Amino acid sequence: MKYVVEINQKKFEVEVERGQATIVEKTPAIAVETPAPLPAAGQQPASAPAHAQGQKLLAPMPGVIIKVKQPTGTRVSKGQPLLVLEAMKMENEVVSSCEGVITYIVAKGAQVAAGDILAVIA
Amino acid sequence: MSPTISAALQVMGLGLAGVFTVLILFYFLTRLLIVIAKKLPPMEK
Amino acid sequence: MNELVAGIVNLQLGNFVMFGIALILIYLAIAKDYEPMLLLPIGFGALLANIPLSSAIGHEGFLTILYNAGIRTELFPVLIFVAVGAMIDFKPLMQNPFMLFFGAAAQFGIFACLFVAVLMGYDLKEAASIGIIGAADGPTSIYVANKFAERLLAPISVAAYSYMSLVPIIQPPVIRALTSKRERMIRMTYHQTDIPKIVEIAFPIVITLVAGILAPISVALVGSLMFGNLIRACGVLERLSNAAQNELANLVTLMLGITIGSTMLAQDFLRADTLIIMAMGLVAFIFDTAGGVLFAKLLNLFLKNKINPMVGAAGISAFPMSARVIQRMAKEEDPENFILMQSTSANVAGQLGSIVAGGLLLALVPAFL
Repeated sequence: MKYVVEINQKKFEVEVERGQATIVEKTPAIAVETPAPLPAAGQQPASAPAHAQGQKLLAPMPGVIIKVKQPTGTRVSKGQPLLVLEAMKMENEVVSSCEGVITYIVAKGAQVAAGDILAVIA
Repeated sequence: MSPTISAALQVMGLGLAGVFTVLILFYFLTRLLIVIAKKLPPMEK
Repeated sequence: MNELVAGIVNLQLGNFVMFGIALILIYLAIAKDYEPMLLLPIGFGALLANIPLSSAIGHEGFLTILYNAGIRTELFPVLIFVAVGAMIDFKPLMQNPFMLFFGAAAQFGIFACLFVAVLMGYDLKEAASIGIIGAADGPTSIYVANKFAERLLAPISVAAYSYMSLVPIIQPPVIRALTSKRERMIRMTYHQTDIPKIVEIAFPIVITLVAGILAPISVALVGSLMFGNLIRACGVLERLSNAAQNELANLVTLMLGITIGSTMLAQDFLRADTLIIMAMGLVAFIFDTAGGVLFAKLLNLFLKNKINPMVGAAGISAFPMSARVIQRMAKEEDPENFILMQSTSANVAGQLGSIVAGGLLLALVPAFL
């Protein structure tokens, strides 16, 4: 299966290789290769910090992130819209589940599976 | 009770029962298909 | 000289009323975006048919030719099923086959409405045709109504299509009346599972064989839908799949709409029947919604992992409107609640359920005559 992943306004075509027919991982392993990344100031790395501190906001369903409303470092309150997840061709606003500062937020254009980390709020 | 009304009641009962039966059958078929497919060797495209 | 003014001389009040109804349908389609693909052609078809001495209808009228070739033979609805089959993704249903129960429960309106229609004095065939509006599925309604009560075809199709577009207005008050805020806030965890390709391919084939052998009369309905779905699922017929979803769907819809519109003749349409059928269609949609919600509440008495009862209402066939309405309502109560995947599964189940219900009516009703 091919995914188009957008990172820092750059589009990458990503081939997802499935293993056996019995897939153990629930999240398809998306290998994102970033050729010569240009880490601009204020922009976060693309990889999800699985071990990051703070409250993790998980994807409720599979879909594509079509809008990121708050960049990292922003202080957000509970219920504040963080990003828009498009699933089943419907745009769904994902809100913060707690108060805090965003230490990680998924990139716009990313394809997520249910249970993937969308944001970490510390 | 007029014959049409009793016929309508029967169509109603049998129809609803039928829809449930058929969809429950589809439910088991779907589960069966998935179980069988998981046992088959992977079909890679 | 008489021929030049024949159109004007033959104008009657009925014609003007029908022009008004046609213009309302066109207005709703354009300004309100209510199923514009259907209501606009239906409205214009009604205009064409109600002009006095119209050459569009009658022995050599093109709309009559289309009617005889496409509706009377059931060809248009069957072709629409092929297109719809190519549009349906059954994967959400396979991931959550439990939702099939709601696809069945939300057909309740069909049968409830059938019963009410009989109480009101319609015969069984007509009542079944009126009830099938509750399938919330245009082609199924046309298919059944055409077989059982051709004279009621126009109001039944108009009711089916207009209420389908009104799902976002009809369902929420019914759901709110039947559920508590706490029930509407029930969260459901979503487990993402991968469906093997082979299952996706086998599903339409197996369903067709089983449904067809059990009820041969449903083969045309189920078979054409599943043919379209196999084209989509097989993965090697992308061009045919695209053609079915776009060109075929668009062309047949275009002809279907204007042809249905052409049956809305003043003398047939301006009758008390039409108003009654429109009212009963609404009743059918309300009972569909109630059936789904109440069945979910019934299941919740026994289930450990409670179901948000609103998902039950998504078991009607109006896809994807109903699933979206349910998600929107869930979000209103709790912005962190996502039940879109579950309601989508129920919604897909409803598409299957409505066709099964249509097939069952076709099989059952003649047995009681």
